[in-house]
Amino acid sequence: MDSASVNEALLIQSARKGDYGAFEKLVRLNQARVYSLAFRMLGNAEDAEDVLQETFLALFRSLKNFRGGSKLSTYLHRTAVNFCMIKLRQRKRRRERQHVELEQAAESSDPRAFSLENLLESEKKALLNRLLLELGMEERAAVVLSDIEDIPNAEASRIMGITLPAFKSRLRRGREKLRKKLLPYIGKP
Amino acid sequence: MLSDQLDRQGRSRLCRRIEEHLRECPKCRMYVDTLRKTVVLYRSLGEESVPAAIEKRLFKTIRLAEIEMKPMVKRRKACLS
Repeated sequence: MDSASVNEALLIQSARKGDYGAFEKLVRLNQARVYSLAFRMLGNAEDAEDVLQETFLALFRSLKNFRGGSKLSTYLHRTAVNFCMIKLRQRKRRRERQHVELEQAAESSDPRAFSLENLLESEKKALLNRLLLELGMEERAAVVLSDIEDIPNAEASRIMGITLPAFKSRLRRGREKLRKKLLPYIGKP
Repeated sequence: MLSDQLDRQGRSRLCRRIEEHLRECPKCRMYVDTLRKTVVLYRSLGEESVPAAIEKRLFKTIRLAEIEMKPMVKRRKACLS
């Protein structure tokens, strides 16, 4: 076990005994990865905040039963992905149009006018996030977990609650769709 | 298969055959090249930092949940503190 894992295990132990400070440290150590995942899955800060709160509240409420059998990061990713899926299904039912932040930046990144190298970092980021939101939710989750969060495929498949071949298939489809969308920017040698 | 190759999870003999084919086929080479660029671009995105206001509200929410879960006497003290 590395020192970060030992530290995490000690913090979980203290938090289970009611040490709020220890729980706060756990939140600080992990909040960015949960927020990032939710932001990339949902495309706006408001929904990402909801998922961030729901995820850590779920951890707080289940701390007593958290045996540390699975890594904390796996638990948090799985919980956050589940909350994101619930939100996306609700959206689908309400037939809401996806609200995408930085619309303006995305519009300005017209492939006819810019190559990827000429885009500002923030415009590039907005473009990549926008294209990600055009994927189906399961393909998006696979790309977010594997390519952005850099989680090994076997672990990512467990987080999504699907088999490894099913995960790979979603990842492959997601990558292929993104590749096609990015072709105007990256297709030239 | 090509997606797997990028993850270096493909079997080595298969990878060798793919690499041999790629040397001879510009169309497939272009496909792999753009797929690789796509993955690299997304890998470079990195983490979003949590805005300060969102972090503040998160801790407030957790604090409220903590108070709710405490027995009544401790809860009263926590509310007064």
